Amino acid sequence: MLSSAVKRNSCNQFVPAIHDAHDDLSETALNDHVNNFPSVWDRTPYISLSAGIVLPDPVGGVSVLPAWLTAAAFATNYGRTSGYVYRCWCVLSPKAVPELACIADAVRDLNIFRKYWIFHGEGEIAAKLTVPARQIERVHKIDKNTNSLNFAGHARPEIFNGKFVSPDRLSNLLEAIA
Amino acid sequence: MSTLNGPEGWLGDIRVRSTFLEKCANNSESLARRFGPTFPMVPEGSLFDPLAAQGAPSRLFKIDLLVSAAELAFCTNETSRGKGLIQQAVELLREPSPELLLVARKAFYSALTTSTEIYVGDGNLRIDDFNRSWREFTSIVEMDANLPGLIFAALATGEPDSHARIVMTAYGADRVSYIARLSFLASSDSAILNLFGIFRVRGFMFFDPEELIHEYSPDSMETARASGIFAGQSALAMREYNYENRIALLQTNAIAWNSLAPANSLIDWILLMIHVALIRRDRTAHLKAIPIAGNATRFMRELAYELA
Repeated sequence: MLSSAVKRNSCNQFVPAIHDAHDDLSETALNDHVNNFPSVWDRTPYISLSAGIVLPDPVGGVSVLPAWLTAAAFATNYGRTSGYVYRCWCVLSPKAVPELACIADAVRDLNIFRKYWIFHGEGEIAAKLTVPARQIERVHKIDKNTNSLNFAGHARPEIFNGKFVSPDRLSNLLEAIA
Repeated sequence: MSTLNGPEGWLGDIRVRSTFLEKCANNSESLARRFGPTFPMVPEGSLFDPLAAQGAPSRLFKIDLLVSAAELAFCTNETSRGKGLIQQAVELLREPSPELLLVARKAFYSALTTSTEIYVGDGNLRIDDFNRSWREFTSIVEMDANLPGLIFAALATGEPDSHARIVMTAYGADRVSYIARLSFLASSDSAILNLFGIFRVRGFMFFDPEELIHEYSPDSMETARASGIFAGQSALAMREYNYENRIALLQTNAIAWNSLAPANSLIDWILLMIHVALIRRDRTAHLKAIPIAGNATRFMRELAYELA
């Protein structure tokens, strides 16, 4: 998975493109990516990934929106076209680090990004430059016909990545609390 | 006709999205299983619910999706379809739940679209024959968040002295309901209760003026009534202006608005319930006395007339 900046700079030379795209990583570029995307869509070094979110509910309590809902809506333009949803993971930091390529930013987390847009209807993780193939678990095809959102009758709706490395390899937290 | 004004092409888009949300709600289990993690996030036999850890959709999630779909339907003048979606959500709540969140959602949406009777008493909450004591709910925060919606839902189904007793008694059944009740009565929304023929003459209790006729002179009661109505109309006007501002603020993000991705609810459900309650209780004179703040408020009032 590559960002627009890497694709734009690559000219078939991936390594220099990645090198050059590092220069594009900045706080301003991240702000533009989140809040002014139409101006920077073809050069942004960031990749928007969907994430779940919990919102205050207008009637009382909270609403929980999972990542797949936003991803499926975005991938299919709300069921109007076919689309693909990739399931992947990234390493996040509890502080904003727009310049560091290997750490993603939870840009809708108001504890970190307080000056961003005041309403947050979906979760978003901003990855930098690339999402390594080993962090992508699988890809789903969602058919154009929205009836197939449940994938009934679809021959092969998903492909697993044989080289995927699970995030629990990185963390000992779950072992500690299990 | 009630339609929230949007950019060109909005109506078609909004129908597509509403349908999408409805389909996601109806297929949410299989979709969550399909998109959920396959690697073991939670080891077998751990204390955590593996289904929850895999993002298994709760009833609440499905209800929220249906309500979101209904919201979009209401915005495009598809009131009966919106009502149908809300009733689907209510149907999901047919099984009793120990969670106040779900009970409150059931009461609120039932009151909006069905003939269900909601009673918010000083010691219990009753939805038709389904009765829960306030003592069963132990979270002040949760009760705080849900009580305003419940009170206005009760007023949409009956008179305050029978259906919203909680605001007319000095003491709650327990600490949680007592504090939540005081918290609501201290909010500006509580002044809206004045528009339902009850008034806060002294302390944190509302009264039917007829009950106090022996304690106060007719003149002082008339003064209290007039100032109560003024306070109520001002509080309602403030709520309407807040809603108008919310829609205006969402419109300032032109990209999100034009692509039909406003990042917040398009309907102020509590305000809608207040309007519905005023109309059903035959107190529309108060609505007419408040100037319409803008197009969004006009839409909200017209929708309330259709739902009432």
